[in-house]
Amino acid sequence: MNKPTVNMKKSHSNIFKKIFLSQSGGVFITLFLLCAIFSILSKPFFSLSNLTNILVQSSMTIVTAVGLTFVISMGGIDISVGSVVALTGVIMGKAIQAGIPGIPAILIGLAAGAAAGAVNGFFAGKMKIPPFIVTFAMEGIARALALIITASIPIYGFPKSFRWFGTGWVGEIPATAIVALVVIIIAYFVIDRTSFGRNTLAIGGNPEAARLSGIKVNKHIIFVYALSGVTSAMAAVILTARLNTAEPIAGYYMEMDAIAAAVIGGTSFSGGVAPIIGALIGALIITVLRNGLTLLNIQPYYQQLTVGFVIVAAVLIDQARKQRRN
Amino acid sequence: MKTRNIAFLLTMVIVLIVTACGKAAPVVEEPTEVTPPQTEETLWSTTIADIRESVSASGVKKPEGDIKVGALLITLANPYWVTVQEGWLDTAKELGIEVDIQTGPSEDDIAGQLNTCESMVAAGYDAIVVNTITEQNLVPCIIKGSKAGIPMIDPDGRIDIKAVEEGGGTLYQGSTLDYYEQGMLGAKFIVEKLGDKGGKVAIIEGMIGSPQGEARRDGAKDTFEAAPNIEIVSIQAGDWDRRKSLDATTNILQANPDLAGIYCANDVMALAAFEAIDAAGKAGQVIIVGTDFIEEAKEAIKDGRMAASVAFSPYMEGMISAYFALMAINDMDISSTHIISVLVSAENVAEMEDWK
Repeated sequence: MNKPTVNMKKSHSNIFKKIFLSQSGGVFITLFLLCAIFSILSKPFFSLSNLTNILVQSSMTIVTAVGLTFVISMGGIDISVGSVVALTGVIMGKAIQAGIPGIPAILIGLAAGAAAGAVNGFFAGKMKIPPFIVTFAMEGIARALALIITASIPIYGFPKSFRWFGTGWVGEIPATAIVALVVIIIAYFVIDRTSFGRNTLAIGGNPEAARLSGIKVNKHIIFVYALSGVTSAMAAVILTARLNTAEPIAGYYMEMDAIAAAVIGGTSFSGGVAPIIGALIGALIITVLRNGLTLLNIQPYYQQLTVGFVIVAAVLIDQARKQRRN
Repeated sequence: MKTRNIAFLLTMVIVLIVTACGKAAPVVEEPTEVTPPQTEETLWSTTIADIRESVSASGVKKPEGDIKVGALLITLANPYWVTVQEGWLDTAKELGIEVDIQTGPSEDDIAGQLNTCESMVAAGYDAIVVNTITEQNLVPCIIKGSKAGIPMIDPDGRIDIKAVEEGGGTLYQGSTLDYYEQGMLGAKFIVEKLGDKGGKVAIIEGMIGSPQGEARRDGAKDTFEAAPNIEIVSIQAGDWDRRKSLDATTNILQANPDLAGIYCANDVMALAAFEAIDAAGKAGQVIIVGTDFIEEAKEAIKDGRMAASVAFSPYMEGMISAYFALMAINDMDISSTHIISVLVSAENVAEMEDWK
């Protein structure tokens, strides 16, 4: 590793080298190449409106991928994302119907997401039930609750303050992109600079060692799953704001994109690694793929095939990297 | 490093191959010409002829130059929608327009369908026809598309047009498929067959939360409730699934051994209901009605396993969608076209041989 130098010019090339050689350098190149290919093959791809589309469409995947990155790097998994999105969206809808203004309603939704996540964390941590089973159960329960609360009737009509989070703009930049960016920055900071982040990775690397070193593992697990619940709720805010409707059938299969993005980004299922930037790029890769393939009018099944292949490729790379680490 | 490079290269190559091979090519046989029959007229052929007549009478013209339209279906994983695609492609070819047919990533994924719709708006079509999953999930895209000057068309009439207009968009809205009416027709058949005696009936609905399924259930429920001497003993979710419907029907029979009629929101569930009823030794006691009129249902009606099914034509749905696209490009009103739903029972199943 080069020592940081005072020379400004040298530090510039250091940054590029850092990106290239970094954990996420590889996927960044993939994203770049995909964008280049689609720009060449499809004229509308590189238009301002389409690129803005991609920013908006990727925002939900980005925030849920961040949540999944935390959970997976801790050695767990969360497949309840889609159902929690539906449930928190519906809870916020009910709050709005009860006359609660936009921002407080959002906070209620985030709290509900945290609560659902905390339940997951409690059973996965303290009760030692395998996370797959816990979040699988939550997936069914949250979905059922969403349908019961609404009697499967969508809730339509949200105040402007709420809708800003899905359809608002700051200049030329969509508000959803700003939300995603804020989440990325906070998550990066937490993983890189805080003991919370370090402890998450420590538990993922070796839970027993983490416990012996004084980390309150069970409590921490609850927090991290609660965090995933919060990111699911954030995705619910974005989706509900975009649609101006809380749909109890929202969010189906959202966990798949979130997991795929996290895995493509380099999160390993053996835990201990949480590449936040990788999750961001992974989410962008999936969104760019779908968007580009649709613009090229590729049959839907081939689109699915491609996304599947990309995930396999990412896992292969993960394996190769693991082998080199050992 | 080497493995990583190979893996990336592989990914790029795969993407390029898929792009080259995966262009939406119809997975159907060569489009067949629907010529007016020389000998007997079936309901199918007369309806198709009527549609063609009214379209040409409307005076719609194909504008100069190449016309390329986009069609967003709900899914292609279902034979119903594959037939819709067939109708689309045949009619587009007839009209001399090009059509790109897409779907969202899955039939329950409302955000995914919205994303696909928005990508299609960016692609620059002369018109986009959408079959929406829910009333709301494509509204932002309709607004976006109409603001971009692209005629956006809803052939089924299910999109919340008020929300579209509130957002500053415009929508060409037809009223082709009435799911509520389908439930009504199916239940009406049972009510009429049971006559004054009446009896106990049950409903097997689709997946809870599915708008189409719920509309069919409500149509049947309201019809049953309005009929004297008819008692609804159970409404269960069959999730469009054979096994779930089988289990649900078995349970209903356990609790109500004198069940007289059962309406199922699709044929797959109706056929499973028959299996349950037959296994309980009550075949013939229960009037079984399904919806969709799939091939299997046609056979079941002929041999008496099912009493009836509600048929509507996915082929016509695709056909009319193509006409709608052209009409919208001509800025014509499409709101008055309605695709018929037909109740098919043993009495008229012979006329439905060529229905699709």
